[in-house]
Amino acid sequence: MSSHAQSAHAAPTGFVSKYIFSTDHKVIGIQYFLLALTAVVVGIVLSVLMRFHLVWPNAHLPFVSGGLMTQEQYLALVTMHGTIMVFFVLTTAPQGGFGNYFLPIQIGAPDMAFPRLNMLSFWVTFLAFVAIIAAFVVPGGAPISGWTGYTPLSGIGEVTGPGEGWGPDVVDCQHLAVLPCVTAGRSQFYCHAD
Amino acid sequence: MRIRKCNRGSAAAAAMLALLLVILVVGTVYMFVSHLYPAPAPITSVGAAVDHQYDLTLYVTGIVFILSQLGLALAIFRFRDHGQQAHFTRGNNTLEVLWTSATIILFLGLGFLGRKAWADTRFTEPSANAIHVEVTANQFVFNFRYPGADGKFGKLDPKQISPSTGNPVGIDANDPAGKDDIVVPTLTVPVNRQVELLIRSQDVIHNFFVRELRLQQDAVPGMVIPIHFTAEQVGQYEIVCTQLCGLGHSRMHSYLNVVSDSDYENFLKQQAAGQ
Repeated sequence: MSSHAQSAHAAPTGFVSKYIFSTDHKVIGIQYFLLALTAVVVGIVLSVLMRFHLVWPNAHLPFVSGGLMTQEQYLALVTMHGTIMVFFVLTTAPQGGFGNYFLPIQIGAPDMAFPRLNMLSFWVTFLAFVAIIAAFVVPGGAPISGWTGYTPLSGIGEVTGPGEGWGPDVVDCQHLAVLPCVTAGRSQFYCHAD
Repeated sequence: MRIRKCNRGSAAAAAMLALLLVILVVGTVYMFVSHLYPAPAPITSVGAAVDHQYDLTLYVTGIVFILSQLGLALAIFRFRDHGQQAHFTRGNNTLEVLWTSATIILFLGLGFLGRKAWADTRFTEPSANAIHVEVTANQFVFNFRYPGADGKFGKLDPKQISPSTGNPVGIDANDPAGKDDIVVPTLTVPVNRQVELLIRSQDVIHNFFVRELRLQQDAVPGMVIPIHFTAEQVGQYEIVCTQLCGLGHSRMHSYLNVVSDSDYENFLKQQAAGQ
């Protein structure tokens, strides 16, 4: 009890410090869940568009310039669906969401080892998600080399064809998404385990 | 101290959730049992072994799937919240050892049983009288090169690659062994004779896949990957690229023609005469 009292901190006041930039592991865990939920909805929409195009390849889509989906746009759907699902759902939800929420509770700790780092890691992940979604609206469009990003197709876009190649942007977004989640999160998990 | 109110969970909601789960299980099992979308029959003995391994894996994992999902449905209903106190448990070491051991045995067992289906095409050497064909994949065509009458492949020179002048794979014009090489866009092989494919790529990663052979191999630039098979049924089968290779990936395909020995000899003679 005395060690718990020593490590206790004052409860946050105000909406922003309580629910937005909170250092509480349960709030951060829920934030990761919500981010994963948003990402999965985006991923599902992309996959529905993929399947829609496969069933009705000549259908006119209102939000596509020219009406008909091009090959580049289809491959962009394929690539971004896989990327978002893997990096923003399959890694975010189990590790960021479940890990942050339940690990301290399971071991009886008051919070994660580095609460501010934990909060920062979530918001960097969020920024990475925004950045990767922005790929759809930048000149050149989203990458079209598949979510696995195999080279040479993803690495020498200038050679393999127009619009190919990931460029530094998506890879950097993946780094922004995965590294905070993994390094900050994992390091805290290890600290707790010790 | 706040006294917890007795919150009774809805039996109807739990029952509906459990029922939904049961329906999903039944629907999933039906889709597999009814063979709604059967694969084409294999035309190699290795293909039959692959199918057998697939079926075995499906049975084992299917049984585990059914039992676990129905158990989950039962647990959802039986242990729904009706105001009872949570039961604390420290686990059951015996159960943990049992189900972990069972999983290990299943996984290792399936892997051991499947070794023949994998090793036969990749770890065993082709026979001495196997027919050698070089498969060259590039955006977005397959080209197949036969060694010709001398039985030797000519050297390749990337600088001499020129599809427009009939040299799509870049045979070195200075190499006499390459003069009689036959390059065609479709693969023709004789029935019941072993064929070794040497799979390569000129640009990005492609994949050589024939459903009926149950054979699939990536074509990686910088590597020559050997794989062999023996087709046991005459016919024409589609070769498709199954590794995303660019905008034309969906249109990258060719055909495997399995013909009789005499037709195969005629094919070689016609191609040699046309050079």
